[in-house]
Amino acid sequence: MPGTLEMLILKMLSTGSQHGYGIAQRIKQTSESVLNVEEGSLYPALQRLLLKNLVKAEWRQSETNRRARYYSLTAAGRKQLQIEVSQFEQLIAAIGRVLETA
Amino acid sequence: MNWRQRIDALLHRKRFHREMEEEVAFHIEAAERELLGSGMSPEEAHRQARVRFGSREATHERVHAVSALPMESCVHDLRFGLRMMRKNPVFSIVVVLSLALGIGANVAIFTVMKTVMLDGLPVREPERLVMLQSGVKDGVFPEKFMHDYEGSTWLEDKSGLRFGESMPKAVYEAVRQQSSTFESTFAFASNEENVNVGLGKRAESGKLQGVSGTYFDGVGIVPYQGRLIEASDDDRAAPAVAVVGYKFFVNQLHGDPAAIGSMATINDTPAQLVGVAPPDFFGLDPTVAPDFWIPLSVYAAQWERNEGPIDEALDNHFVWWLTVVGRLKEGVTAQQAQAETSVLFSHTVQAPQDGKDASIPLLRLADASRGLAYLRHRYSTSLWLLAGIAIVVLLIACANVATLTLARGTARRGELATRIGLGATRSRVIQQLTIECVLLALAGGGLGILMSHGMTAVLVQLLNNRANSLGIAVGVSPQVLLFALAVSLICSLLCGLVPAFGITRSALSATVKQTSSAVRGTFKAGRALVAIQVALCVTLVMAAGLMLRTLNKLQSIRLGFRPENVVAFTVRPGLNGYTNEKLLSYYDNLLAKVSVLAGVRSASFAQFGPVGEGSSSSRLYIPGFNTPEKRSDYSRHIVGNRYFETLGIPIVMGRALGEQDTRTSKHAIVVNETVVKKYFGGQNPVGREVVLGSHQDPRICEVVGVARDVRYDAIRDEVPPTLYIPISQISFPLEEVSFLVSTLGERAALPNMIRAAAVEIDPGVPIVNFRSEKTVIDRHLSTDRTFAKLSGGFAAVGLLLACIGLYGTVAYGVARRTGEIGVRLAVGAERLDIVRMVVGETLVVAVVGVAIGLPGAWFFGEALRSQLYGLGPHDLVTLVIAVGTLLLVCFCAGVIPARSAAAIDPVAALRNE
Repeated sequence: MPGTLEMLILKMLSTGSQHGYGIAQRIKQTSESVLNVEEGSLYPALQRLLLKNLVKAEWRQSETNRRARYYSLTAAGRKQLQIEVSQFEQLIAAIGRVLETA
Repeated sequence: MNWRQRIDALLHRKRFHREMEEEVAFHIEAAERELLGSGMSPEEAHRQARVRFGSREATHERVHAVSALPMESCVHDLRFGLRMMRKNPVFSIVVVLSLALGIGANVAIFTVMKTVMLDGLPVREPERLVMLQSGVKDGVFPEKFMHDYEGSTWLEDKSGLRFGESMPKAVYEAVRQQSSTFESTFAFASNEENVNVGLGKRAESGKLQGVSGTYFDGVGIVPYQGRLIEASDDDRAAPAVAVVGYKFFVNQLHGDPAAIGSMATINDTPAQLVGVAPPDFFGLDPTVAPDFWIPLSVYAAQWERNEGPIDEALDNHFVWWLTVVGRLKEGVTAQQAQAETSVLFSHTVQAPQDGKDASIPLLRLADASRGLAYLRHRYSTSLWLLAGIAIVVLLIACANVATLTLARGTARRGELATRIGLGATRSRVIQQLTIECVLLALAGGGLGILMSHGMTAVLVQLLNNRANSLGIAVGVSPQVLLFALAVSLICSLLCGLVPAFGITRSALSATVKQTSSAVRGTFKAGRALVAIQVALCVTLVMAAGLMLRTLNKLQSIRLGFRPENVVAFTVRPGLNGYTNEKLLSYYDNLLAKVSVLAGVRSASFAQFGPVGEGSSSSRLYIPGFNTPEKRSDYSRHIVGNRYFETLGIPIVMGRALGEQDTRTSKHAIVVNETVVKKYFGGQNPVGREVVLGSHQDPRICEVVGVARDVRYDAIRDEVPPTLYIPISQISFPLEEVSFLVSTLGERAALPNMIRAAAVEIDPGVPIVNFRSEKTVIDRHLSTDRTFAKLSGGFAAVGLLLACIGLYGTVAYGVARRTGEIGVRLAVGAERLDIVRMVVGETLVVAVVGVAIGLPGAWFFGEALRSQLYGLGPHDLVTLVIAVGTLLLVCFCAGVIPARSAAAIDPVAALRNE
């Protein structure tokens, strides 16, 4: 679903800043490998979020002492996450009702 | 949208890309480390990490696409396009040049056509001006309604009615006084006249137009200086006045403000110069550009003096001599005005006792916003023909560019497939291809506009070759620039977008499987394009062939006289009131003075100078060869002494005309060889008597000599039977003659010496229209020459373009079929068979093209008929040459790729497949 990846990224960043690889890994781990984020989609999505001012990026030393770009939520990003999560829950609930009754 | 960041990204492109690289590298490294941690071997981890990440370039491209400004990709494509242009200079030059030639030619013709046919007059609200025209059926002169018609020849319109622009003065008066649909009505004499203007001690010549007092007010212009002619000037008792044209004011009066208010002698009538017309005003006929405007009352008085008392006739409704123009009232339509004016017209031209008469001429109102109709009529044929040729060239250029783009696009299929494979979207690739084409088209358009300057100058010169020069300024206007831009862009869309879709489709499929079937469509399109090009070329080459053969025939014409070092000039003492004996003695005096000037070999004069200046004709009774009832037509030249000597026309039998032929001696004439051949059955006519003149007033003349045939008036026509008559023996006065002076070499000082000689006799008679005969003849043929050269040049360009297109398509077709040809060779086909097959296919396309083109060539030839000399519009020789040339060219364009096809190594070709 369009926009879902962006929402997941925002969610992953809600607990703190993270680099691209870390985001992909955490989505994979949290979803117990059900959701596998393709790198070809991840970075364009991050770029879109940057442009929408929902995340910000800065270069920092990583845990392995390499320079990496860390992304973190902006205030607008936090707000957007709430909106998207509630919208998504409504959507899931709606789909669930349709599936149950049908 | 976060523009700041986008712009930032644009400004720091390098940093952006570097950072992307670093981020991706970090990602892969992190993945590799993790794989290592899960117990993978270092090599395997290194490989896996990269495989999992997938295409780095694709990711890069997609991230970049997110942040890029829409403009940025254009800038990128523009750079890329420029690089591609530099990389393929031959392709670029061919495309740009073909477009430039096509666009340049079209802009030039459009510029001139717009000026001549579309532009309004430089007056107040020209769109409200309408002109009265009368129409008659079957071209029958309606004698009942008109006894005399002055003005331009009648034009036939589509319905078969013939329309004229002259009206009787009574109609003008009726419309002016009674019309409720016209804000103002004005009139001017339909014929412009030559005028001798005495300005104190010197005299000048110019063009004169008689106008009504309402004319300038109705046209709606303001004077450059002084005042214009006003309603009060119409009164016959009013003092004579004249308005000066701006050009005359600047050139002949040196722009001197003191000249305004001074007196000038206009054909013997003293008149006060009261003002100057504005610079861009030339009257309603751009070909005439009068130097003087005088009130109709003065004009009529002069007419009367020259042609006898017609005072009443000028006011009655039997003499039609005025062009009448009305300015529509605000909100009144031309139809309403026509209804009302028709009633006024028929009441005026028809006496009440006649009752209703069906043969009464019709009245209609014609749009006068662009001046008089016959100017457009006169030039429109040549202009439309040239426009037709130019459009054909542009079409060929477009087809050619499309063919080249298709062929090159196929060659670039690999490149495009790679780009799509690397993540570029299809629309992105189409954008890039289109930008490349737009770039080429704009370059072509720009160059075309530059080229059009030269071509416009050539065209104006082409139109200006007659005695009257075009009083219009031709400049590149915003509309023309828009036109060029539109043509360029349409070209780029035609040539770029359509093939771009085809190419990207085939490129997409090429990423899936490398087969040739996907491009079969583009190949078919290519062949169709080439057939169309060949068809257009047949038309063009045929037209050019006809014109070049015409040119060739015109250039090899023998004139029969020697125009080198002959200068001519005209005097019109008749305008100054000279008559009969006084005229003759004026001519003799001037001839005597001119003959003794330094450097003059021989001088004479004649009624008409050579080439394009006119001739008179009459009928001849030759006792023993025809009857008084069935007289023969001949062309008549009235000449002075030493005429034949001056022009170098050989006398083949008998003697020339000379001083022995006086008023009292026996009437002598010289005939030309055609007269001898046609009327005397080839027998020596010297000493025989012939009868000129009418039954009542026969004039018996003796043939004293035979002159060699010369092409005198119309170079293009057959030499007419011609009679030369000495001026001393004619029974009517000749009010103007052209002097012919044969000089020893170039004499730059001669004009001034002759002027000085003329002033000694009478300073009031100006020397007019100094010209060298060589120039006169060159000018006479310049239309044909220029037209032939232009169409020939265009055809050569078109042919060249079609060759390139044809070669490109065939070569591309062969490249596409490498595999097939390889198979054929592998299963035992001879190389010669391959050549035959490829050339055969090319010729099929060519023959189809020729077949399509022949009707076009026939049509074009028909349109060219009036421009041809010495051959018909469907000249077989030209046709054979044209078709032969095209087939030969197509054959050559086929052979080269065919030979390379035959040289294909079957093994390599098959491996490729």
